[in-house]
Amino acid sequence: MATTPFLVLRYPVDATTVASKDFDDSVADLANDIDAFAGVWTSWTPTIAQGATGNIAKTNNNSRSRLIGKWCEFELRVAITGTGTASAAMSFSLPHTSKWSGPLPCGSGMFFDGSTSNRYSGPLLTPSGSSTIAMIAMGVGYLGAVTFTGALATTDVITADGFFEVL
Amino acid sequence: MAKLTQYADIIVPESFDIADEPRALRNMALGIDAAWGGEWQDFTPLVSQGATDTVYLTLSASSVARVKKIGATVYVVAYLLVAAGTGNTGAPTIFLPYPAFSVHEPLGHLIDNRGSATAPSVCQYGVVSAGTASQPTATDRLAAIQTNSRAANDWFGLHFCYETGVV
Repeated sequence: MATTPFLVLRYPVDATTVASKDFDDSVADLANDIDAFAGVWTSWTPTIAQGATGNIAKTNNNSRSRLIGKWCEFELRVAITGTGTASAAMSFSLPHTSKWSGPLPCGSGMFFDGSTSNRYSGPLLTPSGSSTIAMIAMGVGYLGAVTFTGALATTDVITADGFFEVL
Repeated sequence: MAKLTQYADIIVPESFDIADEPRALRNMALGIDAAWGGEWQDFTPLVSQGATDTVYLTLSASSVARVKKIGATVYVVAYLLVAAGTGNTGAPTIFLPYPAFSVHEPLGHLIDNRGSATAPSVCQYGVVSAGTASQPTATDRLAAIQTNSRAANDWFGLHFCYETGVV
């Protein structure tokens, strides 16, 4: 057994009742301490690509992730401001490298085509051979190459959330 | 059991009413599990096809089946690649690493793909619950989406987060 304290949680021994402010504050301290230890949500800037066009310009709207041990949870929302490549799969970078190469499910995603107001949703997959990006799967391929085959453009929006095992 | 190489110095007074502070309790559990447990682990997936749940699809060694359990919360990420079918028809039955709390509980996304090992081809997906047509009250299994006989290069993608009845 180790003898060096690893984590100290702030919690006063004089907290006595739920109604007391001391109690509420101390519970908040406790929760914050454990959140800080177990995985706080942090800002994350994904890279958006479509085919040969990488790092497509976008406005990042509070994309966030958190890491608890080898478990990563993420939420993505970006508004596209640049232009992609038509008839090619769209993808985004993961906040951490996955332990496993695809195809492997890692969440779900939705694409809003601003030019038509159509929405396309599907499961997220890390594609075959990759452990760093995710794509939205459709019935016969990946979104961008099938179903919706236009180029990413201004007013388009991508949202996604999921979790995966990190390397 | 995780090897104990570090410990958390968590001191909670006797007057701490955890029933009134579920968030603190949840976070405490997450913090402790992140340090001492809840690791991702392999599990042995079983996929049967046929009415009796006794004839199993042969899965490829390239399959990935990982599970992470924190208390009653189970995370599953899997890519189950079929190496050989059974010749039977009817939706395959996929067995869970831990039984679900109930048959009505949505488990998460199931991707059911036929025809290509590396990309969506004849792909269907949806949110699934425990129970099959022949065993609708069973909590330890679920039915695949497509009812076709399965063959090499078909695969299932599992991305679940659910509550188990096993703590």
